[in-house]
Amino acid sequence: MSNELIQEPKKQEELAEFLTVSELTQEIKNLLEGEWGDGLFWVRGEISNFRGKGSSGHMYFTLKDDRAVLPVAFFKQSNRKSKIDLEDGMEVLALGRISVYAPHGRYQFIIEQVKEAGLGELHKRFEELKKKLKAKGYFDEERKRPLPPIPTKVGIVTSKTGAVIRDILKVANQRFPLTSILIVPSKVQGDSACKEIASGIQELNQKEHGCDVIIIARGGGSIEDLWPFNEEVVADAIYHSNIPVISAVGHQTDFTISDFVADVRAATPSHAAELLFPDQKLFKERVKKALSLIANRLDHLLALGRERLKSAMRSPSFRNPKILVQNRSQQIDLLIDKMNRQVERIREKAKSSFQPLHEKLQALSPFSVLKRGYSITTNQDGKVIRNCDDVSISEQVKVHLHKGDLGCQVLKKDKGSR
Amino acid sequence: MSSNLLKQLKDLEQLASKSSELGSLDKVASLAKKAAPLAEEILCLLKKTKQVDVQILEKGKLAPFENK
Repeated sequence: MSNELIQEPKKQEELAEFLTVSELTQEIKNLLEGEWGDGLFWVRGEISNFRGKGSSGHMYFTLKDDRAVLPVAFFKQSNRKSKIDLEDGMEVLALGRISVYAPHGRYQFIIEQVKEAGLGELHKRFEELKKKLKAKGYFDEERKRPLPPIPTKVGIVTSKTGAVIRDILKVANQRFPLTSILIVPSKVQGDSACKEIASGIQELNQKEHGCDVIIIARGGGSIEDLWPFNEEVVADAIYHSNIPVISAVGHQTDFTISDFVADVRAATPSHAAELLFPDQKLFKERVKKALSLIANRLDHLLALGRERLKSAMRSPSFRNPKILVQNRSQQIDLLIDKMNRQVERIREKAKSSFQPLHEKLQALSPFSVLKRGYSITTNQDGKVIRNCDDVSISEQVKVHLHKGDLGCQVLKKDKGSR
Repeated sequence: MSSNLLKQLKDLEQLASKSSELGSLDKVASLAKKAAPLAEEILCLLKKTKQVDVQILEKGKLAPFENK
């Protein structure tokens, strides 16, 4: 670039001598492409932020190592010859040339051919930790706990800004606003994020918060962005959580270590909310179902009652109740007759069995003796006088005859020969 | 609030289940008298609550979190 371009313009008319953005970019493009010529060269790096074939058929991603990133375009006419399925974390050797994409004002590497160069460093770490934690039983299905059917209080560890928390709240408000939510804000990418996420999980485990489930969440991003959720400290916090944990990290195609350790993996943060919050419409349906069950039972019993009533109304007794009374009256007459006959029979039987005893009694009765002309004498006290010594001269006595009594006075006593 | 709601719903469903076992109209009617206010209470609760109560725990302090 010539030195005169660096000098400041002194007059308005000199502004015409400035380069436009397009011209400057073209200068850079010429410089860069001229420097590197049209020659192709190989670059080794790890694929990151891979965006697969869209409708155009082109592929875009970055190649990176531990210190730099390189934007890459792999156009349709070149990538259709490739037999490798490219993905994030893949270590590749790419043959291409450097170029400048003016509309974005950035340089990029245009790939002609690509070869697999082994797994990337992050992928290696991911696979190693996955293997280690699996061996420790962190992923065992038996230790996975079910989510509460109706969450009382949900703890969420995520960024307090951004779409993720808004998406979760939106779903919660729509589906089940009766629950409450406690957010423990955390970084979700960068070096210190993993410690904050782990600490958030531990905090929400405190009984005083009363949470019955935890969501750890973040939106989509590159493997580096999601990396905190692949750290052991987060896996440990999830594993030791007394409360079920839902891992909702990235998009459906992203898998992190926290997804494997968590009790439930959700494809996205919104999906986590859908899994957790019951739809209040279902509640209303359950209430209606319960009420209609009772109403149906009432209807059924009422119908039965009506049928029984109809049947009763059809019976002769209901149609002509007089007949029933007459029948019953006749029945009563018959029973009275029967009873009278029975009483007569009993009386006759008793009479015939008592007759000889009666006659015997009659024969022994003192009245029978009196009838024959004998009498009984008693003193004033009614005591029978058997001996003349039992009375005194002038004493009043009573003589009982067969018919009537005599009041007498003792005039004389004669002991006689008896 | 939500745990109470679940209990109420379960109570209601239990009443409904019990009603199917009863053969007496009087008993089912008395059960329906218990179920109706319970159902009304649940539906009212669902209707009146529009937004989740959200709090944020930051630097050891609890504060309301805007939920709109």
